[in-house]
Amino acid sequence: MAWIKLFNREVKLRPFVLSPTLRKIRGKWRDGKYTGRIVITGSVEITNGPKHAGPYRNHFVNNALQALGYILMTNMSNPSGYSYNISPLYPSTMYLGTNTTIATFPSIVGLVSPIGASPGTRPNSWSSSYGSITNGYQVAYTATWNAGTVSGTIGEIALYGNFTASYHTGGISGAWGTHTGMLSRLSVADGDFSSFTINSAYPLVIVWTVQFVFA
Amino acid sequence: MAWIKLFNREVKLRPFVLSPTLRKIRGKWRDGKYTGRIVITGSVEITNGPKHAGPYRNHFVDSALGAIMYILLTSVTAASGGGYFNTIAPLNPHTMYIGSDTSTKTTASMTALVNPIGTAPGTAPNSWNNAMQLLSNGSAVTYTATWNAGTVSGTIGEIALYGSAATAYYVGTLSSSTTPDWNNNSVMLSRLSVADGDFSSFTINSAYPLVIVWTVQFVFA
Repeated sequence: MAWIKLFNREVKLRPFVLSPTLRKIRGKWRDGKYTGRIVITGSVEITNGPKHAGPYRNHFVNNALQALGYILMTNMSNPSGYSYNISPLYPSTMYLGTNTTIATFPSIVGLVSPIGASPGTRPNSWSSSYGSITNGYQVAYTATWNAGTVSGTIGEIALYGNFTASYHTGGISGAWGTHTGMLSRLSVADGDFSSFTINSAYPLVIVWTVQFVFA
Repeated sequence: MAWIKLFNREVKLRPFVLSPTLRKIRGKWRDGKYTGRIVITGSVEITNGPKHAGPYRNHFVDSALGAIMYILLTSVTAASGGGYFNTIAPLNPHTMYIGSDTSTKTTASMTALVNPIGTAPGTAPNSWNNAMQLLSNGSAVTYTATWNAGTVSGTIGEIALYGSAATAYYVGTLSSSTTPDWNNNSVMLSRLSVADGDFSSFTINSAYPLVIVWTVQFVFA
C-alpha cells in the first residue's frame, strides 16, 4: 500500500487497479490486440501449517533487469569446456529475512537481515512448474523448509537466481561468468505483507509465481 | 491505431497515452516506487537514404514469451567436455527480415513474415550489431541491421526481429552429461506491420542502404 498526504493527513491507499469496465475501455483505445508490450510480474504465497497468506505482489530489483539485458545482448555459442552456469535470470532458490523497516530499492542485492548465515538458510526442497495463462505463461517456484529448520519472524523474502556482472556483445564462448543474486524481494517495509512468526511445528512453503503476458 | 465504432461511424484513435499529470497521479496510487513489474517494449526506426521514419511500436509474438519461459525454467550448465550446446541463448535477437505483406495483422501465434523479401525467411542484412544503453529506470538494447545499397528491393509492408527460442522446455538443470531434449530455433520474436497500422508501406530506394534500428526496452514500470 502507498501513503499519500490528503488535506494534511496521511492516508493509506489501495493499489491502483482498473475495473474490468475501465480495462475494456482502455483496451479499445490501445493499438489493436497486441500492444507490443510484455509485462513480467511476480507474486508470492506463503503456507505455514494452518496459516495461508497471499498472493502478494513482488518487487523485482536491478539484478533481474541486468540478467535480462545479458540475454538480450549475448549469444553464447558452444561454450564447451567451461564449467560455468550459463542461464542468466534462472531462479534457483529463496531466502528469508527478518527486516521490517527497509523498503526495496532497485540496487538492493540481498536481504537486509537474513535468517541463517548470509545469504540465508536454503530451503530443504525446491521445484518449479509452468503453465499457460490468459495472454501468456507463468512459472511457479516452490520452496519448502522442513518443520523446525527455520525460526523467527519473517519480514522479507527473496527470490534468488542467476545474473551477470558484465555484458558481452555478440557471440561468446567461455569468457564470461554469472553470479547468483537476489532477483526479487517481498517485504513488510514495502507494505507487501504482514510479518509473522514461523510456526516451527509445520513446514514453511513459499510459492513464487512469475507471470509474463502480453498486456 | 485502433478503430472503434462511435455513433455508428468508424473512428481511428490514437494509442492510449497518459499525460504526465495523469501519470503522476497514477504513480501516487500505485504500490510504492517499484510496482513489481518489468515491462518489455520494442520500437523500430527505418532509414533509407533521405527517408527516415519511426520510431514505431512493435508487436511481440508467442515465441518471445516461449523464450522467456525457457530462461525461467531451465538451468544450463556447461561442464567440461561439453559440446552439446549450439546456440544456448534463448531470446537473443540476431537478425531481421523484411517482407511485403500489407494486409495480414500480427497474431500471437505468428511465426514468420507473410511475404518475405528474398527466399524464406528472407534476405538477411549485410551487417548487424547491438549496443546497450542505460535508461532512468531500466535499460535498452539496440539492434542495427543494414542491407547494403542494391541488395534488397520492393515495397516493405512488414519487418521481423528474429532470435532464438526453444522448441521444448526442460525443468531443472541441463548439463553436458544430460542428453539434450531441447533445441533452439531461429524464430520471429516480434513484428512490425502496415496491416497493424504500425507504419506506412514504402518502396526501397536501392541507391541507398536500408538501415533498421530495433530497440528493446526493459524497465520497471
